[in-house]
Amino acid sequence: MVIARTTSRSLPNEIADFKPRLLAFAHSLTHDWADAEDLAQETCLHALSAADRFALESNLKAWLFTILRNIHLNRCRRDAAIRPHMVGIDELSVDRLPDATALGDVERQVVARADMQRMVEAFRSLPSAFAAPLHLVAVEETSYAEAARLLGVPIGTVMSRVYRARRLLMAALAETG
Amino acid sequence: MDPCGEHRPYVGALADGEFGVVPAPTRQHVIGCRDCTGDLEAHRLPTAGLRAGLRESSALRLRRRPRMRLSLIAAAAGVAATAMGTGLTGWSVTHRAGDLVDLALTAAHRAPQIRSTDPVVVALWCSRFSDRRLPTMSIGTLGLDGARMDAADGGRVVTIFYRTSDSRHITVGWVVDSGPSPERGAVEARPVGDRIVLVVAVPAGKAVLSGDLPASQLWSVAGALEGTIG
Repeated sequence: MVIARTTSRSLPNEIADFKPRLLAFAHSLTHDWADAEDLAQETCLHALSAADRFALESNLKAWLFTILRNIHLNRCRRDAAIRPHMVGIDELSVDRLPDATALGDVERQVVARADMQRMVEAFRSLPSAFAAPLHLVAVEETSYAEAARLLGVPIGTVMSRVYRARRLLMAALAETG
Repeated sequence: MDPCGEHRPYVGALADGEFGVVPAPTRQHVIGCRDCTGDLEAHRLPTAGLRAGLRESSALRLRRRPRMRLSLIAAAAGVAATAMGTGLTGWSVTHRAGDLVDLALTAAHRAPQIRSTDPVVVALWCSRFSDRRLPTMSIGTLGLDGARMDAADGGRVVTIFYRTSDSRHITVGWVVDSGPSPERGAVEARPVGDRIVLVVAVPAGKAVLSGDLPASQLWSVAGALEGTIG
C-alpha cells in the first residue's frame, strides 16, 4: 500500500503520524521497547532534519522505513556487541524452523480462533529475521518487492521468511492453544 | 513422497496476493489440492488479527510513555497559536535587529513555551513555528527541557532549554538574522555579569550559549555543539 502525500498537511505532521508504525516496526527489529523507542525517535528526528531533501511525490512510508532500517544497521555495526538481527538467520536453530509439512486441522483451528492478544504475543516470540519481513507484509501491507528493498534482501528471501514466520506463528499459537 | 512439498513454500505468497513470484504449476496445483487450499486459508487468517493487534499495542505503548506522547504537540500548538493571535509577550517586538544576541539572553531567562524531554516533540514544535532550518536538539549528554520562540525586527530566536546531569541549566538560543556572520565555527566569548556567554557562528546565524555552569563546561558544550552541526 503506497501512502500518497497530501498537500493539506505538513510533512512534520505526517512524520508524527507515522510514529506508532515506526515504533512497531522498530520493535520487530530490536525486540526491546526501549531500543525500539530510541530507534523510532531517531528516525523521526533524522527525517525532520532532512525534510528539505524529501521529494513531494515520494513515498513517505518507504522513506521513513528505509531511514529506520539504516539507522538500525548502523547501530548494529557500531556496536560489535549487538549482532544485526537481520543477518542472524543462519545462526538460528534449524529445529525451531517449521518443516514443509501440511498444517494439521488442529493447527488451523487454533489459528482460526486465536484472539488478537495471543496473536501479538506469538508474533513477539518470532526471531527478528522473520518478524521484520512479516511485519512489513502483513501489518504495513507492503509488497514483497518493496519489503525486499526495505530490508536489503532478495525477494525470494522475503517470500521464504514470511512463509516461515507464519508457520512459526501458527506453531507458537498451537503450543499455547 | 509428498506431492505438495515443492509447492507449499509458495502458499504464503499466494495468501498475500503475490502471484508474480509463484510459478504457474504451483498455482494450478494449489487450486486443485484440498490440503494446499487449507494451508492457504490458514496463512490468510493471522494477517488481519496481527495487523490490528500490533498497531493497537504500539499505539498503546506511545500513549503510556509520556516522552513519546504526540498530544503534547497539539497542546503546544494551541498555546502558541493563542499567543500569536493575542500578541502575548512570548513574541517580543521590543528588540531591534542588532539586538538579537541580547534577545537570546533575555529569552534564556524566560519560561519555555513548550516543556518536553522528547526531542521529536520539541523539534516538531520548532519546525511548526519557525521557517528556519531545524536547530540541533541533541547535544552530548545534556537532557532536554523544552523550547521557546521569540521574534524581533529582522530575525527570530529559537531557544532550546537543557539541563546537565547535575541539574544545572543551559540554553542554546538559535539566532536567525540577515546580518553579517563571523566565520563559521568561530566562537566569541562575551562577559555578562560574573559569567560569560558564548556566541558560536553557525549556518544562517548564531547559537548563543548561556547557563548557570562554569565557563569550562560551557566551552565543552560549545565544542559538542560544533560537532553536531558539522
